[in-house]
Amino acid sequence: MKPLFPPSKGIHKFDRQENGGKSRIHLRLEDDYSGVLVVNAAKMIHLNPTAGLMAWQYLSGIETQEAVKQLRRLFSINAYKAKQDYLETIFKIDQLISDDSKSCPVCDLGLESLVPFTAKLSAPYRMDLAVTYRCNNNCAHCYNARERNYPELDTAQWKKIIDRLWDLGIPHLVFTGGEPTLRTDLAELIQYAEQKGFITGLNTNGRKLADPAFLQKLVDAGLDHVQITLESHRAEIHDEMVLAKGAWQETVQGIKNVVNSRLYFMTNTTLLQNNRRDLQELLSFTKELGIPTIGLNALIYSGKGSTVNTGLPESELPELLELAIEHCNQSGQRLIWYTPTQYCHFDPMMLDLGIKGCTAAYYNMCIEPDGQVIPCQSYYEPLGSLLEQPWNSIWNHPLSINLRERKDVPQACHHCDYFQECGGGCPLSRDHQNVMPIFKDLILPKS
Amino acid sequence: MKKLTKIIFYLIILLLFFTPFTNTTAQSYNFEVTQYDVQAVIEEDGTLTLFYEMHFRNGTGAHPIDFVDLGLPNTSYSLQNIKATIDDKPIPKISDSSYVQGAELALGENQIPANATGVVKATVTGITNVIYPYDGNDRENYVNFQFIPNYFDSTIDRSRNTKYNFSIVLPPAVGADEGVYFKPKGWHGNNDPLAELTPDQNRVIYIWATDNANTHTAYTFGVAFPAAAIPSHAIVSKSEAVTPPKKITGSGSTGVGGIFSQLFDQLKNFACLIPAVLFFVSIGFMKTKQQKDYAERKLQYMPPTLSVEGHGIKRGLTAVEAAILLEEPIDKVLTMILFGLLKKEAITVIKQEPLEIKPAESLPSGLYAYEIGFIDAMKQPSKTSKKNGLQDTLIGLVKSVERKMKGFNGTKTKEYYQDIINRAWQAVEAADTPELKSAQFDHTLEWTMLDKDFSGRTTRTFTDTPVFLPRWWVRYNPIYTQMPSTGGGLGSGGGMTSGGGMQASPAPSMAGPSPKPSFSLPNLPGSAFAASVIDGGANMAKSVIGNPADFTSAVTARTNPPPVITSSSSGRHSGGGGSSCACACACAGCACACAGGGR
Repeated sequence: MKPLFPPSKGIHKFDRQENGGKSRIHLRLEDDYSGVLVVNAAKMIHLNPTAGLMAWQYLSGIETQEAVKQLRRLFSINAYKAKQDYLETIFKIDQLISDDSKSCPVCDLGLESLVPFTAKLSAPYRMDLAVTYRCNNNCAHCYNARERNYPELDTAQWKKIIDRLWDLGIPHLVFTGGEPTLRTDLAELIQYAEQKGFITGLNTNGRKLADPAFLQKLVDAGLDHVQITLESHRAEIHDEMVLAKGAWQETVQGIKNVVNSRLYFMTNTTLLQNNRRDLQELLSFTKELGIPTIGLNALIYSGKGSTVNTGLPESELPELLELAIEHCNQSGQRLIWYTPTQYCHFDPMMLDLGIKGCTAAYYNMCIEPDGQVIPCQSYYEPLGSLLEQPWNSIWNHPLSINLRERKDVPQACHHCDYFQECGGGCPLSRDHQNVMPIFKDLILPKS
Repeated sequence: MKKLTKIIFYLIILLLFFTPFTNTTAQSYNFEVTQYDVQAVIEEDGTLTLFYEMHFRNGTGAHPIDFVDLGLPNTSYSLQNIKATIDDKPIPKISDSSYVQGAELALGENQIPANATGVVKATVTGITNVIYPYDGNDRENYVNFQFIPNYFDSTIDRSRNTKYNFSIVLPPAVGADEGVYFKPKGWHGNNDPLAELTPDQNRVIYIWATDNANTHTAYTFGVAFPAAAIPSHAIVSKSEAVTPPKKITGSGSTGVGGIFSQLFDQLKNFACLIPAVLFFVSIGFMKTKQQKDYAERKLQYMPPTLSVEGHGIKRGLTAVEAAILLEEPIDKVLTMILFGLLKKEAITVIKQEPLEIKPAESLPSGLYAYEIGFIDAMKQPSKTSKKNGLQDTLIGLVKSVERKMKGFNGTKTKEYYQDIINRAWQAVEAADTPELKSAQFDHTLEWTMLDKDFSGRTTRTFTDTPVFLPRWWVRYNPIYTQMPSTGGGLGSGGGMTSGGGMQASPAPSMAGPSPKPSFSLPNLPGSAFAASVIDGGANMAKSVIGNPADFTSAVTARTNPPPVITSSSSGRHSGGGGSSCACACACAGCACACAGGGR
């Protein structure tokens, strides 16, 4: 059936088969047709209204001639210009979607480069669903600040949540907790979300995945990616950190099972005093296990993490990360560093780790087991119930705005040359660190 | 007469230039058609043959004419029956146009570049369903044929005095006194055509010709002739003729070509000249009004933009590194390194031409790699080895800047450093006293030197006051070492000649706030100071690196070699050898945004 033009506001999904692989593409259009093109929940391309419409036309399979006609119906534009712009735009989109494309978006394709954290969004790209706070581990450094028996929505209510999130144009869900695999309806929820069109992921300690049948249920439900927490290559250290004897054995077995599945997979490790000395061995262990991507993060100062006192000062992170970078250069694994830091103490860009600023209430948010939305998985300040309150009151809650616009940062940060990228680091860690941000103006005082 | 021909078609230049791997700085299309010959031949079997010949002259600086869309009156044609040439060379790729109803001629490597001319010829045979019953009362058993030749978008077609020839050839069976013609609409020439018999076949031909036409106005022509001249099956039946034209959408969204094909379809019911014209006018008016209505509702078109989050600005570059980023000439970069070392008291110039330096016995700490490389190169005994050493230093510097810029927004970063340059000047200009102004100028000299108008701005800034020479100047101009010193060791006497041949004016004692207030300094007029700095680069070029262009080429050949795949290199240039892809994924808005590990 020929799609109606112009398209409706909201999210549109497209699947593309290419070179034996599959790209999952989401196009989120706003009222004015501006939007975000999300490729495999990993690549974000911001589109102005004209580009938003053209992206939709192209991905919907509308022939060029018809697309030009449609554009001319909507805009005051002559045909040759419309066609020229259309062909240029869809070429860029094609390149951006293509897995094989080595084109630099800015230099080769002529995309504009946005200053980080300046895009105006109507909803996050990713919603973390903390479906339960129950857990079969008891990590000493866990950021969970809730009781383990925290009230949980039932399956039907979670499905309503998922419906609502789709309507908001959010393309990516991550099931987390607590330990999400303790929910008996996890596979059902994943399947529901996948059928809706979401890309789904799972953050887990991996213990339940030691059971191949359980894992297969999740795979069959359509799950796309998994992140398993692995704290050490040594069982005793891992078990000591997660305060659960025998956990390491199950986690490692779970890792082995996932490695052999079709799922995109990575581990995650929190760098703490407990495991910092063994980092090289841990990294080597991940290579032995065939893990393609390694995630590292620093202590999150929330829940037990705020009092555990095993966190590393930011100034000690570069040495560990340089080691990890060197390892990945040798092993061919990919390294992802998560933690937002104050760049005056640790600048991730100096190590080519990417820009790491706080993305809470901006690119990602979290829903607690009872349906309350919180800014991120670790920031336990409810902004409102997704099932009961209008999205606008949640998205534009004063705390959401404060975080998004970085209003509550030390005064010195506002004048720092790195403020746009750094944003003052993780808001949760600011109150727990004794070092003050350093104002940086590297060359001249501003006039 | 060459060939008998006939026509109904419109044609549009379509600009489909699409170069996959280049940035999208599209030039605009801008051309004129100096000669335009169109002939429509109604064949014995009632089919239509079209001949056309278009003489293009592309505008200066215009986008190449690379595609020509040939509109056809209906879909009853076959691509196999279309032949075309550009400058008598066959056009190999002819396909259905995705823009108009008709064919697309891809000129390929024979596209017409800016400021050039080219002749496109095309022949289309076997178009059916173009003859309609004549519904007027004044003649019986007649059929009619009306058409609007192609015209172009007036925003790109600058034609004014096109030599325009249009002709219709009637079927062979039409007698010399049996054909009639309609008064053309919109025509800039004589309404009455030249009516003749073709010399080869004695067929009736009507020719409209003028030198004052253009190819962006719609001209309507038409003829009628006895139906018996063609097979009855070639005549579109009345029932078919009254079928609403399929391309009329009422949306006002079709292109120029689309509109014409609609008009052609509508014109099929014309019975005679007067009703036909009236009907045409009526349709034309209604269409115009519709379009006007839609235009009022349409949105303003903004060119499509796609953007990604980048790393933002790369701060913390030194002025010399910024010079590489800003693609300053290499001799200027070397001059900046030279002055930087002088300011750090790491070297002394012992001879300006050819340049010879003497490193300090104990080099200050914290020298950059390019500064050490410069000193090492200049220590070499021969000019060739000096030059090679400087080349290596520059290559290392360029690559270092490339590494530092990886992942950052090159454009924003350049803007940032331009702002630094402006702020440096503002700081100088805001200083209260001549001494402070000079002190500030000294403080930010490496940044003000980056200004492309360094000389002019120095002259303007120091119009009323001289530049008090900084302490380190003695290391640049050896003549000052011979001056009697006061306090800090600089001479204060007037009448000194600098290396550049300028006359230094007497220096007042620096009594005001200054970094070094305890001694008198010589001074120079601003223009003389600027010239002296610039002379440093010129002297270095002359005496060490030789021709700056050759030296630059030698550097850029190793820092920015011709790529194997020319996907991203077109249009780049590199005055200082510094260009780099600064756009790696910032990971700011990606999946690896803070994802909540740490449980």
